[in-house]
Amino acid sequence: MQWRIALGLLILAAQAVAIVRGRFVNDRYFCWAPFDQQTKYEIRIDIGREGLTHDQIRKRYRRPAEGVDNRSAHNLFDIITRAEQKFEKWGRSRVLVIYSLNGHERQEWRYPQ
Amino acid sequence: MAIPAVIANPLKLTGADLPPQIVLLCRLLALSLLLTNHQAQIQTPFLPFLDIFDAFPPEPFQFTLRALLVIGSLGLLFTRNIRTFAVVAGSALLLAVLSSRGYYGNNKTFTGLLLILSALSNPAGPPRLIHWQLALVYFGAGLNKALDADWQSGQFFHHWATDRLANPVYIWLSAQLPPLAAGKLFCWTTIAAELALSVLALIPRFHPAYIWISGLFQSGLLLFTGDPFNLFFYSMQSSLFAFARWPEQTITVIWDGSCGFCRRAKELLQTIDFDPIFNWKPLQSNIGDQYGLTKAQLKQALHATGPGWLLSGYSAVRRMILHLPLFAMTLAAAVALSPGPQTRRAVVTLALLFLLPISNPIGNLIYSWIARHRHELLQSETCELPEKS
Repeated sequence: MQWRIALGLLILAAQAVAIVRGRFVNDRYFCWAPFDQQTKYEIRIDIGREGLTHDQIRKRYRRPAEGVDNRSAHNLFDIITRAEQKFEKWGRSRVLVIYSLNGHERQEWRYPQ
Repeated sequence: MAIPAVIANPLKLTGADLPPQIVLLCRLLALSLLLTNHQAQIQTPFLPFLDIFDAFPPEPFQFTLRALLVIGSLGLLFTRNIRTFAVVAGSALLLAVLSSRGYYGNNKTFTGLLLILSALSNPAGPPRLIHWQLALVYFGAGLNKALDADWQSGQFFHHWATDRLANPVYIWLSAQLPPLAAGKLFCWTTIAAELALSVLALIPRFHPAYIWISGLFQSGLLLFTGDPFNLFFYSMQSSLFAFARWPEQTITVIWDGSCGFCRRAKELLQTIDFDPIFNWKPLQSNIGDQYGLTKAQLKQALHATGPGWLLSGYSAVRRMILHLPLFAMTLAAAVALSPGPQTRRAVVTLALLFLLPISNPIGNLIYSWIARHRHELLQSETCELPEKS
């Protein structure tokens, strides 16, 4: 029975570490920060001279090409960065994300930065 | 043919190696997972948090996780091996989260952890691991909001309620107040509630307050948005059972044994009370003497009593219904199967009206009418039980 409690405490301790980590990083994964930011965004991507369609963008990032995300905008930037690093060998892409946080003015984020 | 010992009635909570309220918690999660067809959301590995998941063949990996989630959920509902199947379903959810940034979500992580921590709970005594889990969730959520500039200024709520939800109540309230005052009020109320709940979850004597505040907070969120936020509403509300004190003894119910309608109602409740949790005693058996209740009082209304409490009439019936697993399961199913936000809101509103004291006047009125006319209802079945002198 003791090992069960020890394992449970380990799981809880890992989450406590993630909450502390969340104060020092932007991505906010696993730190219990649900629904803390409204990110309205639109993704545009060119590979060579070709622009990708909304369907192609959805398949590439498993996210709609435009919409509203209820999590940190950095979750989206993280997904795009990692996906592009993975797909880089098939051609260098240029990504532009036009986004607005919680109704503020529009900003731009680019890959590569 | 005999039913194998491992098969269980989903509405019978005793007989497993875990406290009844944890069995109910797990079964509610299983029911929600199945009725929302959550397995369909599980993806093939995609930008995983751990590189090892890239080594698995994508489609078989996805199929395995989906199958494990369904098997785990069915096992939780229909067997006594709650620990085993909670690990199966919980692991499937957590592996799905860790293997895909596309699937990642707080609600899925929380549901997976709730199942795993349920499996790790002691067979008896309070499930402290789950209490600490909830304290962490509320603390993390409250802290992140409290340190966010848009939550401090009220901008988050104002934008969300106005531009995203177009909530007419908020828009009206906001127009009556200085700019962002309503947003600030809602933001800071949320922050205060989340941080307070993180403390209340840790202190057993405040658990009744935790149940009310957390339950109302999550219900309020659903009423405001119409959205259960994927699994979040179901798992947060199910987790409240980990804070409930489940009766260790049966609840004594004193009823009028001379009334045909009362007998029918008793038989109906006995049919769905599988554990059983109610010990039925006719008032004619002089059981009232043990509780200082006269025959006249007992004839006016049904009474229910447990350690340290005695209720009568509508309040007694409500307490009895709350202890039947069928009630929570029906509510979870009604929300999960609701075709849209308005139906979900209606289900939650009706549940709150029933649970809150606000329904007492109308509940008492209906109960009193039925009690007064009980000998006229099902008249042919009315008979007199001999009263003990």
